[in-house]
Amino acid sequence: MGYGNYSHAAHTALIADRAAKPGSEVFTQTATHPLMNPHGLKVRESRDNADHPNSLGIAFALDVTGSMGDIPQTLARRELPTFMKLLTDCGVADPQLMFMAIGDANSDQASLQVGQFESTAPLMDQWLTWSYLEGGGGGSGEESYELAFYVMAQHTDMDCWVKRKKRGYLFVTGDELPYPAVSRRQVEGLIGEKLDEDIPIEEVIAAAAETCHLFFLIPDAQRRRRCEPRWRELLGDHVICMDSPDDACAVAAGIVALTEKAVPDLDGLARVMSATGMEKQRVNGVLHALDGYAALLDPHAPRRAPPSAAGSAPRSSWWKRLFG
Amino acid sequence: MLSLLALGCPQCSAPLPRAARWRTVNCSYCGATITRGQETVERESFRAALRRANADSGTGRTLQWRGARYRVLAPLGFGEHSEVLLAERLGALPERVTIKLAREPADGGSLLREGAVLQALQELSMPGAAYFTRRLPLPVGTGLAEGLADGGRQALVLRHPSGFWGSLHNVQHANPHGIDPRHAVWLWRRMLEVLAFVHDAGWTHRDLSPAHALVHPRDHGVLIVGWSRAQQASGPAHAAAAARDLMQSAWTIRAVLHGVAPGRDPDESPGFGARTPAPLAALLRQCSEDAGECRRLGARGIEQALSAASREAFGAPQFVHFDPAPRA
Repeated sequence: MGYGNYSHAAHTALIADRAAKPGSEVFTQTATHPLMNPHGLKVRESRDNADHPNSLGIAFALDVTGSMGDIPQTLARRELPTFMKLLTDCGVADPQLMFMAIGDANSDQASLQVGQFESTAPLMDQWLTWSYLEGGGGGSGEESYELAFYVMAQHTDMDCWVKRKKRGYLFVTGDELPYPAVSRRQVEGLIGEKLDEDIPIEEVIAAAAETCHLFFLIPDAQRRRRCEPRWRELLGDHVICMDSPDDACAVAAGIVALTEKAVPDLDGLARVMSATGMEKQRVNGVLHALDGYAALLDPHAPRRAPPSAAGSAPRSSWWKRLFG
Repeated sequence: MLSLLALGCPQCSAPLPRAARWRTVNCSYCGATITRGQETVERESFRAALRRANADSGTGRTLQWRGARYRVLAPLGFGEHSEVLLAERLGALPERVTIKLAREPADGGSLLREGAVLQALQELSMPGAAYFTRRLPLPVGTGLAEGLADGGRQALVLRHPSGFWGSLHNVQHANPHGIDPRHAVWLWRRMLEVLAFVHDAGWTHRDLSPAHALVHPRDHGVLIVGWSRAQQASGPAHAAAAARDLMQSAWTIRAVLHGVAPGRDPDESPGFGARTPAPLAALLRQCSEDAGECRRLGARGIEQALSAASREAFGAPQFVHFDPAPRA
């Protein structure tokens, strides 16, 4: 997959009339779409071709359980063109997008859905809106996010990695904890593949990280509180807490642009976002979300912290006189 | 994963294209059609990936904490009870942290206490908690750090506050003639917002010196650190401690307005700076010298008074870029 060219104008036109439509008219599936059913999944391919000689595979694994349905809707109604435009304006070449949908494999009917890598607006939109927004979830505080890492590790093949040793990207959106392991029973049931053992999530993440930059996007400050510490144990500063779920595309595009060095730093990213007409408050929200990750990419950041940056200067004599 | 596998034709052993792993292919040597058969995915390949991810030798100073290894990136300073380091967790997915190492064994208790305070603050569930808990230091945990030359030391590990330039103590010294009062307004406002939240929850900081306020150049962000003396209380004791916090915040703002010009007596209490408009100076004097007024107004009341004084002095609020060290 991945043939054709992206057109922002075409994408904007495609979604222009969706703002007023009910969600069920944007996402019409009432069960897993046959072409997104992972059973029998072999490999999803992101390939170079004449149109895209430097393909870059980018996957979104969207949590489609009850508490997270807003992000897929926002992407489909408004924000996916923003993502592509930001990448284009930053100079990221030949992105190819794949959408997955994640639920709870212990309770949902459609706990894993897998699209294809695509380069054109109609096809990107097709795979996104073919996702079945089941709105399930088991209520245990966990969702089957680990399956997304497993698919990336075991069932993708990207020319960006194979030919150029450049990792692709996986953005997982969510607000719950992952299960501790990929269940061999679930993988056999969902994909039809036999595992010799359950695989701890740490190992699945390590495997996926060899070919992909991995990120977990938490939609807002309220929802970070129940899941962030565990995710940071697993993904460190690749856990991104946003100010709003509406920022998911801008944050993801910013991550790609920074990692690919398409923009030099957060200030450069801010200029691009502002030039697209994004309001200042939202630009600042995106920058705030990306502060930690951007610092990780900056080899000089440690040297910028002045002595006593951790607030450890001795107290002034006047302070001691006033407050002891 | 996939790129690590070598595939050979079962008939003539010639190498096969990688796509043979998931497609039917024809061998380019003998022409046989090769169809993928059933196979079992072995956990061992994932386990090997984790071993590779953890194989970083960790050049430079490293330490171990709660099963993870950290590389020390830079010393950040020394606190009353601790050595403060910027470190990065080793592995495929790093995390930058601030590590406070107890200077002496007896200092470990102070770090444990500070960690407990920060955790309690993070667990607050009152209105606004989701927002304000992100504006407080985020603890990772406490425990023994090992691998140091002098044996294990108690450590408090915090998420590193990225983007913060330094403390207001640093700002004071980088601006010997004091900062622009318009910046001081925003810095104080940021502190007051957080103080209102923690005071509502019954907590007080009790050591709000310039060194305990980190500043972020973007939007005048302020992170209050150094919570080792914080306490939770109620009634008159809490009210008195809260008023003291507010007085300390006012003195901290006076300090950055005053600067540290060469030749100035370091024992001299800071004034208001030569450029501070009268309405703002009056409010600072009131809040730094009158505990009763601080108790009466509270953090929100002072913030409202600050907005009024700022409007009187500068007109409608507008964005002014903040450079903590304009002479650098």
